[in-house]
Amino acid sequence: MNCSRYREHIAAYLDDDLTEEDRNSLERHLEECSACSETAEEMRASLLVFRAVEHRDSCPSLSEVKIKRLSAIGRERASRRVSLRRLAAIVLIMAGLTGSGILTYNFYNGPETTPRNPANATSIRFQSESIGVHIGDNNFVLHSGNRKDNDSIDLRL
Amino acid sequence: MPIHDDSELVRRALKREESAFEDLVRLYEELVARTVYRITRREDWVEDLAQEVFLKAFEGLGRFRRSSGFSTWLYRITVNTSLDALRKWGNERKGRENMLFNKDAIAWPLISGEGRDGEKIVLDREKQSRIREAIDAMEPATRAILVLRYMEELSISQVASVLEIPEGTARSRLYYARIELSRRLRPYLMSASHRTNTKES
Repeated sequence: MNCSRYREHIAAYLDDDLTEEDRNSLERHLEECSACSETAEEMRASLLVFRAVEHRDSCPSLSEVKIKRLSAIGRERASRRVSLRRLAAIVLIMAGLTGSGILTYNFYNGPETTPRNPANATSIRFQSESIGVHIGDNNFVLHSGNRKDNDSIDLRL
Repeated sequence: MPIHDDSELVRRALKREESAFEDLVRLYEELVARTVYRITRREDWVEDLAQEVFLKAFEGLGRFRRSSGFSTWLYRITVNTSLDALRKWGNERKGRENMLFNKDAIAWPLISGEGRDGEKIVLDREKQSRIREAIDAMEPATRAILVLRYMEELSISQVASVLEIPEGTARSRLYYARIELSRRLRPYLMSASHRTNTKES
């Protein structure tokens, strides 16, 4: 008689969570084994007490103000999350376009970086190692670690 | 505890419909608050931890796998958040013991319960206090699995899903949790199971 094998089934038996075959087998064992029978009775009684004590305690709930506040914050957080994911996607696309390497970021003004056609207020320049965005008098350049003078494509917006 | 069909609410929340978030909070605030309280036994933590749970849920909505059900997922976040909070607070355990176990001054109502075959149990106030102490002294993770299975009435497969463990492991943990519960309550079990008609002391 292997009591340990039966004992592991006792909790499931008390929860009506055994197959018919296992249940019949365990019931036969419980009739013969006083130690396992006592274990089963203790488990049953202790759960009864556990439930009674837990049910007695009233559980707190959230206030109306808290519910409203949570709903508003949840909306904001979810929106922020979506925005961050979109931003991450844009950065990844840009990184892919600029090729492999460590990305650096430059922000500068001056005649040296003025676009070829100043009449265009906004432009994006794609090069093999960098992306330049020109807005008004400002140039934003996102480029890879190894800068080279390569052919470029300008998009005038 | 029934598992709600909440896929429509989640779909609306994913579209960031304003009312969806409030509907989700209203639908589940009781579940979250109740579970947090039963695991941590700290009433003063409930609001903050419930807020943490909902914010984690809303932030992670995009990662939510619909196959597991929103309430199962929310239970998972609630259990993990509650256990994490208890872990962080572990260094102040002494203070916790003072707070949790000094309940003699509380005017406890008479406990009564009903078991299989309509068996009734009645416990006097002094025993209730001792039993509460014994249950609260259990490891939080052990208490959590008992709460999920027997107070929230989740099935074994739902418990396994909430705890992200195989069903066999869930059964095994539940068995050991019940052994532990029996061991801790043994001194009180005779009176609980046999004094079926004890009068209020």
